[in-house]
Amino acid sequence: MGRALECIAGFATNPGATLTPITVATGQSATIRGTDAGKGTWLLNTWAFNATAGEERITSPRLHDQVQGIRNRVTAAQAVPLISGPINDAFAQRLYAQDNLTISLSGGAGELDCAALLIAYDDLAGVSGRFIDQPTLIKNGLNLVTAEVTVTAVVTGQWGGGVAINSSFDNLIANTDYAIIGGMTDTRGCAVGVTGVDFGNLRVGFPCEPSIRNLTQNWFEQLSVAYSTSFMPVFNSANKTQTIIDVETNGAGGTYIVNLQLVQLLPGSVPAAATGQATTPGTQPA
Amino acid sequence: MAAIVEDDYPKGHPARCDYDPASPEAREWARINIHPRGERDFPVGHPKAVDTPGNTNTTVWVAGVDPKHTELEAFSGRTPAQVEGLRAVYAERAALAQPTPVRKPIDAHAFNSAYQAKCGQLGVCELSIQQYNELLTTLGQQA
Repeated sequence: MGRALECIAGFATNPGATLTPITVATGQSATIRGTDAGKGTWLLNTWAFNATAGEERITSPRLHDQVQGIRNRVTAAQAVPLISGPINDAFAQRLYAQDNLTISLSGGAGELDCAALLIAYDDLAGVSGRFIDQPTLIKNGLNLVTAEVTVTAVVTGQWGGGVAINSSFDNLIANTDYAIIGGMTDTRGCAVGVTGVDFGNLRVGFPCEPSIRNLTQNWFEQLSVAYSTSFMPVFNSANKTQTIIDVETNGAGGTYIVNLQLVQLLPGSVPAAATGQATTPGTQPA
Repeated sequence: MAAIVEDDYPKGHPARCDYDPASPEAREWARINIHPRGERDFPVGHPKAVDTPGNTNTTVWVAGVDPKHTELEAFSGRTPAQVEGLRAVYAERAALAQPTPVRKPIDAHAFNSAYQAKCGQLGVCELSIQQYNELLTTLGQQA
C-alpha cells in the first residue's frame, strides 16, 4: 500500500445559470476511493475552465455543509486554482472513503464547462505510487530535463489525445528515475494529466493554464513544500511508453504543447512506496 | 582642447545666477517642473505622465497578449490568418483524436519488482516493448 494522487475531471454541458452536477470523465468517479479510514484522503486543489463565468460548487454531507459547501466563482477563460494554495502554503480539505462528492458547475448556456479536482491518498491499497518530497529531491536530484509532447485533445470533455512521454523526444536515460516537479502548457484547457504504472495507473495532473506557467511549472514541488510531504511523482524511464500525457478540455478541443519539468534522480534514491502516517482530524497531509 | 563648460543648474532654473522669471528658458523650466497642484509623479512630457499624449497609463496588460497588437493570438502571437490555417489543421487532427483508454489501477511497487525480476530472468537491463507489454498483460493490465 502507499500514496496516490488522482486528478479527476469532468464537464457540464450547457449549464447556463443552473448549478449542474458534472459528468465525470470515463473511468473516473466523484466517489472517493475506498481507503483505510485511519489514513488521510485530501482534496488538495480544484480548478475549472469556463468559457463563460460561472460557479463551481463541491458539496457532500461529510464536508462542511451540503448546501453550498466549497463554492467559488469561476472567471471566464482562466483555469486557475480556486482553493488551497499551493503557493507558499496551503490547506487541504479532508475527504472520506466512499464519500460521493457532488461537483457542480454553472457557466455558459451553449458550451461545455469543465472542472478538475486533485485528490491525494496517504495510503491507497493496490496502488503504491512512487512519490518523493522536497528534501529527497534536493538530496538526489541530478539534472533538470524537459519532456515536451504535443497533445491533440478531444472535444467531448473527456481526457483525450494521450501520448507517451517520449513521443516527441526520446531522450530519457535508460532505467533511470525521474521526478515530475511540474509542467506547462501553451494553450488553455482544463487539466493536463499524466498517467503511469509508477503512479499506480492513476492520473496526476495540474491546471492547463498558460497564464500561470510560473505556478504550474513546479506544481508538484510546490505541493510537496506546502504540505511538507511526498507529492512529486516519480517514474522510471523503463516505463516511459506507459507514461501517458493527456488533456481534458471543453468542446473547443485544441492542440497543446505540454512541457513536463523533470529532474533526473540518483539511482536507487526513491523509496518503493511512500505511505502517509495515520491521520486524525485537525491534521494535514503527512 | 576646449574646456568643458558645465553649468551648475540648467538654463531657466531658479537657482541660476542669471535667473530671469520672464525668460523663455525659465518659463519652460517652470512648465516642466512646477505643477500648480503639487509635485508631479513624472515630469511633463514623460512617456508615463498622465498629460502626455499617447501615454500607456490606460493600457490593459492581458496575459499573453501584446497590447500593441491585440489582433494577434494570445500566447502564440500568431496572425489571424495563421490561426485560421492552424484551425483547419487541428480540425483534421481532432477527427482522429481519441479519448485516452481507461486503465485499471496497478500496484506500482509490484509492477516494478516484477519488471526487475523479468530483466534478471532474461539477463537484460531493459525489456523490449513486446516484453514490457507481455509483463503488463501478465499483471492483468491493459498493454
